[in-house]
Amino acid sequence: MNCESTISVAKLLGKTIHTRDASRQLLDFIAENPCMKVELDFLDVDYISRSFADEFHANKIKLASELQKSIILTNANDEVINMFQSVARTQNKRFKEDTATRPIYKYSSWSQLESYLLSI
Amino acid sequence: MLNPFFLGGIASIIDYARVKGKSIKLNHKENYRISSYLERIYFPSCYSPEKENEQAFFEGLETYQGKTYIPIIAFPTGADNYHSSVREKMLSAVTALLKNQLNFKERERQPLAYFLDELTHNVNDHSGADKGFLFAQFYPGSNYLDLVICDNGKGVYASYKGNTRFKPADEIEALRFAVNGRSTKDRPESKGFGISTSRKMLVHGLRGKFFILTGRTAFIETIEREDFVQFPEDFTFQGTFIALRIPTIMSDTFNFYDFIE
Repeated sequence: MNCESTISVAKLLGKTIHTRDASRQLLDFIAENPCMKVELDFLDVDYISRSFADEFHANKIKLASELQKSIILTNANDEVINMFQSVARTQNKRFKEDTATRPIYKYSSWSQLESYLLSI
Repeated sequence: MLNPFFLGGIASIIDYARVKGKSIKLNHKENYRISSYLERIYFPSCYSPEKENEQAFFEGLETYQGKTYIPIIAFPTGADNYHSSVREKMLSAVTALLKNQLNFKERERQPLAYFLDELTHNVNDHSGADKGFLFAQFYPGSNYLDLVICDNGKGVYASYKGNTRFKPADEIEALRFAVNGRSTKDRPESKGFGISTSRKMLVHGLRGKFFILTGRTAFIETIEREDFVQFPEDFTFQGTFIALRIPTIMSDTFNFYDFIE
């Protein structure tokens, strides 16, 4: 349908958003919305987690392309914008190991292990 | 002497044993101060939301505003709307409560919320357990917060089973994969940065200490060391136990977004 719709994210999900599931809920809501242009209003959203941002970023692009919808984010504060930008930068980041050369200490006695743990 | 650091883990072990039909008896009643503290933090029964009476759970949390600790919370896992919504509200409430207890500003709240979010998500997504455990104790005199997030699920090694991309040969390799961000989820983009980014942010950003134990294997990271440790054969932790020592005084040069991946 050729119309515009605005969704208040704070009203739908709250002022702080923590889980990947919340992203799925928001995307379902967008998918069910009959309008082709959907504006997501982040007014009053104080915080989004990396997981929410990661899940939302990846699937928003997919959903927008599949359903031919235009999804626009508005009124996001600096913290929300920074989080979206951070996950966008690293969507295809590959695994890089930094502990490969780290030592492995094996203990067969509790007294030795205790000494080690107390040294930390 | 028992550091409160371990109480979340012990509560998880006791829960696992009780579910298996074991009877556990605690013997601490002679010491009023200890028993009163244990009662206040709900050890070992844990503080958890009851279905259709969640409001009481959140109101109860409010009574910890003036304390330096939160109760040991047993939070439900599950991807359905009910469980997701309870977890979402629980994370908001706990983050807000700790922020007030620690007198944190917005900048200091960011890493704390990050640790809580990422590590509880791991429990939900990977452990296979029906609940996770969360506990925090603040030490104002020493300027740090001990935060424990654990479960009595299948553990890190078993969570890689069925993964077509990463096939660790043993528990140590599985833990090495996990602390480096090799996801146990079979996702093409190889995301799984919760543990790896949390430990980097905690140790290299905040100069805190990171400890993870699964089965018989632990990984410890501080600014001075980074070790894998295998425990004696007569010990195994069912599930995964993560403990963070978070300094509550933050360097001016710390930038939260430098550690986000």
